[in-house]
Amino acid sequence: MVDQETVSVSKGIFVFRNNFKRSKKSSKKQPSKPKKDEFSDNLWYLKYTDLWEELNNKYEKLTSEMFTAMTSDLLEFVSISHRDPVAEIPTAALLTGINMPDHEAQFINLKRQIKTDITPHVAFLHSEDCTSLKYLIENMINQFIKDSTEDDDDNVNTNNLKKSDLSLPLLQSWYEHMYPVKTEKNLLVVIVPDFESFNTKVLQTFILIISSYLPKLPFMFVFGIATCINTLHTSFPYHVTSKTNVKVFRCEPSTVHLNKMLEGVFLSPFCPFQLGGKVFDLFTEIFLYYDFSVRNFVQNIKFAIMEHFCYGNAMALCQLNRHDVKEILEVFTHEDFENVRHLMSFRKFVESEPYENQIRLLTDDEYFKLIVHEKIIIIQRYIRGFHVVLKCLYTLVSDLPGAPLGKNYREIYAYAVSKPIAQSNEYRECLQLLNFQSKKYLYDKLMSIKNIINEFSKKKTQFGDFLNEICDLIDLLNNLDSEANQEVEKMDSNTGMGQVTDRKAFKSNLLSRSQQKPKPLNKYEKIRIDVLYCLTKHFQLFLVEPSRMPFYEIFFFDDISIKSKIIGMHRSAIHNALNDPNHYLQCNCCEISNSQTIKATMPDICIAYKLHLECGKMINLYDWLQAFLYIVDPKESDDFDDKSNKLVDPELQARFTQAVAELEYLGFIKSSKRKADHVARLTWGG
Amino acid sequence: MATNNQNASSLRRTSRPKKLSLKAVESQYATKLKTAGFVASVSSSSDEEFHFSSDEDREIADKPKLLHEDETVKGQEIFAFQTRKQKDGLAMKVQEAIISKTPHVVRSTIKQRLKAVFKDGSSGSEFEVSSEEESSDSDSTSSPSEEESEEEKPKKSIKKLNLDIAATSKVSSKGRKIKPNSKYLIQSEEYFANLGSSKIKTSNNTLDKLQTPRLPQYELQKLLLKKKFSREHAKAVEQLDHCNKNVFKKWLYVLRQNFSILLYGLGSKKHILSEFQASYLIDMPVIVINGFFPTLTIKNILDSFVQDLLELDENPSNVNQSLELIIQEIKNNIDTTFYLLINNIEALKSAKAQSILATLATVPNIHLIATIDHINAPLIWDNHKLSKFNFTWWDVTNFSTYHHETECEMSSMTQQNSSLALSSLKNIFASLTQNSKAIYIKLAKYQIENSGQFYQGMAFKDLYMNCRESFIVSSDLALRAQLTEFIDHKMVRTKRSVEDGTEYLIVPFNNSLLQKFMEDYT
Repeated sequence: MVDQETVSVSKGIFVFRNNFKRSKKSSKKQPSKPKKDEFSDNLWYLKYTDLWEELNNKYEKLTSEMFTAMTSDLLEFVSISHRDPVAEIPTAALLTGINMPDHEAQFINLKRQIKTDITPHVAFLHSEDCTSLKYLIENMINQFIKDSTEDDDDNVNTNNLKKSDLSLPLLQSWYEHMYPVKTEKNLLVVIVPDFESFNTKVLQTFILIISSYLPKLPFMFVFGIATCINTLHTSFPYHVTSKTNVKVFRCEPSTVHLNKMLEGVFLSPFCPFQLGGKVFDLFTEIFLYYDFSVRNFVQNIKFAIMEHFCYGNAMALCQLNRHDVKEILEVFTHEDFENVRHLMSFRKFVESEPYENQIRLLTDDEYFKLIVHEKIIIIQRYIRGFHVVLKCLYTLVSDLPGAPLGKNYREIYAYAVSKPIAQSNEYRECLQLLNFQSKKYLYDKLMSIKNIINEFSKKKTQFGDFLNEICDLIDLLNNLDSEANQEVEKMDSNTGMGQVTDRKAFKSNLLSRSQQKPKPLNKYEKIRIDVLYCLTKHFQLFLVEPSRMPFYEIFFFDDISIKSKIIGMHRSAIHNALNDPNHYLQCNCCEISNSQTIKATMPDICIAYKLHLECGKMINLYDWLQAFLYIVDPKESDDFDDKSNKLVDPELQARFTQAVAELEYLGFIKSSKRKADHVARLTWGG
Repeated sequence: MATNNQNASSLRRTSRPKKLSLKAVESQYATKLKTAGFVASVSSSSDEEFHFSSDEDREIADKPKLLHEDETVKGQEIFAFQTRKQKDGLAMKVQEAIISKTPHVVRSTIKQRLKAVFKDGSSGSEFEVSSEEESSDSDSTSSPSEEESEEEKPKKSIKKLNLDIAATSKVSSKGRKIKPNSKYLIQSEEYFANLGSSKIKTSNNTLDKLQTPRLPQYELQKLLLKKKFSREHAKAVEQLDHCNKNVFKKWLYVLRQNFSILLYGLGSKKHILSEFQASYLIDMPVIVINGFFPTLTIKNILDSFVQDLLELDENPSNVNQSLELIIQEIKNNIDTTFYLLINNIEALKSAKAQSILATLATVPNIHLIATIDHINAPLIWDNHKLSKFNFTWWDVTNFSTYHHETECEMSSMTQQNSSLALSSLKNIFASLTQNSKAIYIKLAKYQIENSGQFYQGMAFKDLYMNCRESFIVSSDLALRAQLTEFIDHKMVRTKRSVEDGTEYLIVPFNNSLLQKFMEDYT
């Protein structure tokens, strides 16, 4: 048993090499063949890897494009910073926002850009590597010198420099060697991605030293600041700030990043895996309330995809290409079909079929295959239609005042996948607001809807009707212009209040007015009603919730139980186990009607815990022990006298001792010196 | 009350019904946070500051819907204000527990007895209560709490665990039920009432009243071997274990996708890790780390990586450098997967250690499984580290006792192993040469004479001069050789002072122990 091998009183680390041989070749760069692992026999696993790789590539491409666009003016600043002789160190302060986990990719991207566009000399200083000035300087110079030599050729002897030899004079001579007088000089850029976690003393000294080298070495800094620019001012005194010339740059907020990422990669008609409303809401909430990190959002989606696919081979059908589906269905075995039959939506589907069909569906694999294929193609069409039409709806309603359906595409998506959106109150509200919109507004919206449909469907068929109707309506609106002028003068016939002399007359006047029929609609208003009616019709057609379709689980993942995997509920799990062991043990002996009850059958630690809830700041160990004993073993000490008080069954005492030690280990109590034989409670309540 | 008044007056003045005063908004915000379980109390921030934050994103000030929707326990249940404790709280509890199943006669005697026991101490209980209240409170106390929790929400059943990864046979996890706990309300007045008295008002009973006040560790372990779960519980625990084992394959899958695994829940998780290792990691390089081991440092972990696993010749003393080396070396062996199993990762408390572990976890072919037990464990990771670790959380509650974990801790109930220390000291001392003994005695004597609150130790120079004078050693080197032996046996520690770098020697035992030791030998 391994268990015995990993416990020792003399060491805490156990290494099992298990025949591990270190490959001697230091860098064999051959692209290792697709890794064989224990899962690669499974169809679903292969499909999962394919899908994830594709999505991940898309995501990475998108992010790097986005970062590139974002940092263009920063790059410009870097490139012109040393054009004229400078007295202060040019410094770019990049306000990044508090979503720290995302920054790493951003700064790596920045470094790459600077390297390709501006200068080969870029050093990256992380706070954990630079706890003292010595390490900082060594680290920086090492990066400068090593990087440039790697570019040339590998066997340059500067590589053999000892770490302790690295100093600024050495850097200077190296630089002068690289760029003899009158050649064009390249900048030395220092990037500090996490400014706040740096030791300010170290940075201050560093800046002072560098500023004295500035005439010889063209340094420039990029500071990544997560909070606000004030940090820079508060952490440096005047004599340091005066050595730098700070220009502030801002990153886009991470919500913008998130929206772009979602719309570009995951919430698109080209991604077969679709997030269900609840899971999606969960992820957005984690994002908004916990970390603002897009990276974590993507990791969460990845976990959802993993969870989705490991249901079994049925999920291999999660493909958007109908030929792929056909091929996969061809290789399906009986077990795989059974896997598909286990889907909840299949049950509903079977029950709705006539009896003889039910039998065939359940027993005949060939017939079942046909049906699955047919249904999957329906879902594929549905997904395409859903996203395109949802985009249309989004353009229509996103900038309405108050945005009843939300300002972001993700919000409207989360709504639409869980409920029929076109029947909702929010949608009705939107319609009301749209009923007030001008012709210009409506016309623009219709045009952009037309563009969206054109863009997405080269194959027209599915959206044919929709598109035609939109085009007709646009024409109508256009024609309206010529006729519009005649309409105007008819209005205003009986506006004005007539002669109103007293309050009573005014009142009756108003009353009679309100009882008049609403004035007849003009032409534009009629068209507007048509437009909205047409749009609503199509929204209702396309934007049904997915759960109505059989086999929708293959494409939509909405299992909220992954929440406990993504944000663990550590404290509540422990509290639950201690307060109500029955919750986990599911035994008959410990069932309790309310959480205060203690039963003798409960595990020792639960009894001790529940007793300790009754105490205040300090707990008397003796009293605690006595209470414990009376609960665990009431009969034993029936004859109450002094002797029994002193004589405790050692086994029971041991049990209590262990329970107390465990509570201490879990952090509920700690030993205290304030009073003899007392422990202090670390939690409250109960 | 004050905030309400203010709020009302501001309404009247400004006659803008929608706008709340800053104070009111703040208190609203505070209660929001409280109900969400984020904080126990929100200190009143200055108005100016608050204004700034309230004007920002409305979206964020809203309460999350899903995050706390089905939480079975709010944070406040554990981390809430302290309530005023009933007099004889423990006694009441015991009565309550026993009364349900003991015959009346026994019950009344127990009642008498309990009263006697808990009155024993001088002040009796946490709070002085006047005598008339005393008589009535035994009946009244239990009832309100029961009523409160009567209204339980409808039971929800958890979704079945998705066990059937990779066509393993489906194991139905029995239909488990969740019982949401009743809500606990914060009574702020009682908090202040409680906090007001700094004096500890518990009984003066001490463990010395018992015949065996404290059990020594070895005896404790012997006794605990007898302890077993009842048959029903044993079955239940077995079932829980079975459930846990069924997800092993899934863990492998999750690890393969570059997630790390974090196990939580009540009960020692060491055996789960070893079982996982035994069933799936037989032929992979594995490092098992016991975080609860008292003297474990991050340097040890990196060293064993470099020396024992990778068997490299160089081993840089700088932690960052050796980390760099390890990562590079492991990336060179991209075809091998390394497993890092850490029991109680939270026991490595330094931020540095955690950030190094997090960095190791980001390497694609290092897979990390860690466990946590301490209730505040998740607090050691910030956003950055968490995202590097990329944890998935698994509840593996199993109720097994923390044998190995608590062994190393100094518990309040176990005998401090001073006798053990003394006897081992004596044993080593007996085997020393005459000269060494003399040196050690000198050191100990000096410590007894000079020890105080700020005792730094005996300066090496002083000891040397002292020894020279008594012709024990002739050279600096000879003394050092003797000291090395002491240090190896942990009989002496050395420390350099911060101010002038003088080397100080300390005997790492407390004075009473040293005194006893000296009595035997001089």
